[in-house]
Amino acid sequence: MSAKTKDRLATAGLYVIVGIIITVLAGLLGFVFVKGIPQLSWQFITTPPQIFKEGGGVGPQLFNSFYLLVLTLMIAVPIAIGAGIYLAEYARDHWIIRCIRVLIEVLSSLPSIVVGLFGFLFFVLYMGWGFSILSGAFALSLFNLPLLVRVVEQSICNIPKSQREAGWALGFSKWETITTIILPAALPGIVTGVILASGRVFGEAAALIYTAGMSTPIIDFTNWNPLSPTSPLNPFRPAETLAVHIWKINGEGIMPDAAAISDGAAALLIISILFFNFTSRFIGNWMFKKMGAN
Amino acid sequence: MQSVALQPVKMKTNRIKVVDSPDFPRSSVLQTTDLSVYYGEHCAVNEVSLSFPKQSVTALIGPSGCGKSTFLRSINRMNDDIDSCRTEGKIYYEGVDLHSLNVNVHEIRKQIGMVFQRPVPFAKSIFKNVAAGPMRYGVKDKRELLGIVEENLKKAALWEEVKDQLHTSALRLSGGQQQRLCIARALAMQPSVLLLDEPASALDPVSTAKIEELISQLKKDYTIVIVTHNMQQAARVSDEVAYFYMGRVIEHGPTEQIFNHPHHEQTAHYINGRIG
Repeated sequence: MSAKTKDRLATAGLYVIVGIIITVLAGLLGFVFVKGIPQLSWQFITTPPQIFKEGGGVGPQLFNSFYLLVLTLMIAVPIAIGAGIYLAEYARDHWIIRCIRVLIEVLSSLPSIVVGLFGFLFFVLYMGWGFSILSGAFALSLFNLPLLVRVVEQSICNIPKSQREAGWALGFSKWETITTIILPAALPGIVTGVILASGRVFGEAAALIYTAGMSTPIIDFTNWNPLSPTSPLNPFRPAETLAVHIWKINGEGIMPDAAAISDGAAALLIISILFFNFTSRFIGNWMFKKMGAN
Repeated sequence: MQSVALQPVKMKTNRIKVVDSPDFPRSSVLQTTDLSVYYGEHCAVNEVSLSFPKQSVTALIGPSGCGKSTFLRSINRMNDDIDSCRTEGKIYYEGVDLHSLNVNVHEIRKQIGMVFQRPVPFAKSIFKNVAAGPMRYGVKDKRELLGIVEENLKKAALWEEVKDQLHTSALRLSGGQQQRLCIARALAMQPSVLLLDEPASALDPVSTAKIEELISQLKKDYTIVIVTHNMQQAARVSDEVAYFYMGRVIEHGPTEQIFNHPHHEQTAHYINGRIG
């Protein structure tokens, strides 16, 4: 077989593989959207669910998903940036550091249900926070830290050594070089990673079932005092997210339109995640462009 | 281009004080005595004693791996950050031993600026690149910063090309412009010595010519040490030349003498292109 024929065959093979992937993806998205989008309405995404009647919405669940995401990022991102800076800039090649890296890898491959059960034992029971957004946020932080640490470390490592030397040559200390030169240059990569992690948080169900809980108390969207039990901002209230809601109504939903609500919620979830992915690209590209790295 | 007088800028640091020591020649701002630099067991710089007169350009020449860049980097103690690197001997800057314990390494680097082989602009705007140093040393006032940026971009002969785009990214500049920006950034620290590590080797001939012209201008205010592989460049810009070979200085003297009547045969061979 000549090199040219081989090349053609390989190219054709790659096209077939790509075709399969695109078909599967398009079929999946198409199925969810075709079934789900007709269910979406302003009323659906703003009103609370009904337990026995038709016509309930997923308003609180949608809010819970976003609120949980914000809390999770508030916990996980600073830790991840600190750990990423340490691993990229300070850690030497030592067996303890190698152990830490292996542990991070192990943590990143833990099944989310295991993280959820650990969260249940530690945050819900031992810390006594009960089923709450806070427990959920901590469990999801644990779950996402490995990914985030990796992303931050990689983004920092991608900044060439010459940038650090240029900083030192100006009389900057190591820390000043990191904060004023390296981190700003690594920011586009970090932002992209954070938004990708957001997509994971948004779609996570298993880790939340035993931590954030499967119910939402009646919350009053006019009460923004975080200490009040009916406030949507209260971190100690149970909070069912969109993904958990889908899981629940498919298992034990007794409203007559359970299937329709589940379809609508699934479409809403995927739209939100697609939204995160596109914003991540957009913001990442925009920041790269602003810094002129094109 | 007229050289712009140094504007006194209040920065939150103390200048290293000039100490009178009898054996220290007043005319030279920088001097090394038996300076050796080791990477592990390997001796990269071997007992080099050189002195650099004020407001002059000294070119360090020699084949690749002869230790001239290592020597240059040890002057502002950039080698401190390399674990396996060890330095012996003394470096005097205005009479102060740079290895003595009470000398702040960041202060050294502020007064002894450095420009690297490849241009390394920060991923920031042109303005912020030049202002990075002064901001670090406590200049906050916007107008004062703008003055510093303008002054130093003018000194680096870049102002006319970038004055309308100060707030665009420095990464959009051409290689030659980026290198002049890096020189402006170093100048903004108000150093008295500039270390240039092959500053034009990654640039095209036109940019190289601009950098060389700039070096001749800057000589009026700064003491410049330049590492170069380009013999013509060394001949054009320098007042003195030191020829390095295998970590040692083989010959050091006025440029004219080194190029026309070198004392050592080896120097002549290198200059004529027979070593290297």
